[in-house]
Amino acid sequence: MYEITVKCPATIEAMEFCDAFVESIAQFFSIHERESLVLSIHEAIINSIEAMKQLYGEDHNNTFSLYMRITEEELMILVIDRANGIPAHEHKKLHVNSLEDLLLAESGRGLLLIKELMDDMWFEQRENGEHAIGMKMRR
Amino acid sequence: MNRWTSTLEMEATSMAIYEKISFKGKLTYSTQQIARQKLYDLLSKTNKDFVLLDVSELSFIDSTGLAVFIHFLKQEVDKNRKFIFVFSNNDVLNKLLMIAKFHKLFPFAKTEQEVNQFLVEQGHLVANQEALLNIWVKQGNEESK
Repeated sequence: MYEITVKCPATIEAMEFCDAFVESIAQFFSIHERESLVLSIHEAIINSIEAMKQLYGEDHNNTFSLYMRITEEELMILVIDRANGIPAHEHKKLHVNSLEDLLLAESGRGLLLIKELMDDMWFEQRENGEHAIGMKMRR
Repeated sequence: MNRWTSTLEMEATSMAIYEKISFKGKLTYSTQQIARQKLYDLLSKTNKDFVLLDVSELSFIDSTGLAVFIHFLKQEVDKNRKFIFVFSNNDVLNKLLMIAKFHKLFPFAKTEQEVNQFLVEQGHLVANQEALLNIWVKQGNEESK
C-alpha cells in the first residue's frame, strides 16, 4: 500500500501541479480510468479553491491537501481544506440532480462529474475543523 | 523558477457554409476566462450561422470549460447560430461530453467532412439548434440520440 499526502497553496498553479502529479501517479500504477481520476481530483480541487476564495477573499495563504491511498484493489482520495465544506442543501442536490438536470447550467457540474466518474464519493467533517471531499475508484 | 502552466490555443477558419473554431490544449479553470474572451471575439467577427467546434486537439476539459460552451450556446441562440462538435479521434473528450449529456444539445460529428456534407444537403432545413439536433439524429447519427 502507498500513502501520499501533498500540501499545496490554494492557487491555480497548485491545481496544475496536482493535475500533472496525479497523471504521473496514474501512469505509474497503470490506472485504467486515468482521465476520470485526473478530472475527478481536479474538480474536487476547484471546489476547494473556490470555497476558500469565497471564505477568505482573493488574497489569502490557505492551503489544501491531497491525500491518496493506493492499494491493489482501489484508490482512495481526499481533498482536504479549511473552508466550510459543502452545505447540506448541496448534498441533497447531489442526490437528487443528475448531469441531465443541469444541461443548460453554467455551474454546478463539478461534483456531479465526480459522482459519475468515481465508484464512490462522500464528504467528511474532520475533528480538527477541516473538511474533505472523499472518493474511491476500484483498480 | 519556471513553472509549467496550461495553455489553450483557439483559431477560427472561415469556410463556405460554416465557421470552424479549433481548440488546442486545455480548456479548464485556468484558461476559461481567456477562452470566453477569445470565443466572444471570434464569434463577433463572423456572420456564419453554423459554427463547427473542432475539439479534436483539446487534451483536457473540466466543468468550467464545459460551462464556456453552454454560455455561448445560450448567448448565440438569439442570433440564430447553431453549433456542432467535431472530435476526430479524441475519444476521451467524446466520452466526457457524452457523460455531461452534451449530445442532448449539440450534434457530435466524427469528421469535418461529415459536417460539411450534412450542411450542404440539409443546412437549408435547419432553423435553430433544436432543429439541427433533430435532423442530425433522424439522419442516423447514433451518438446524438
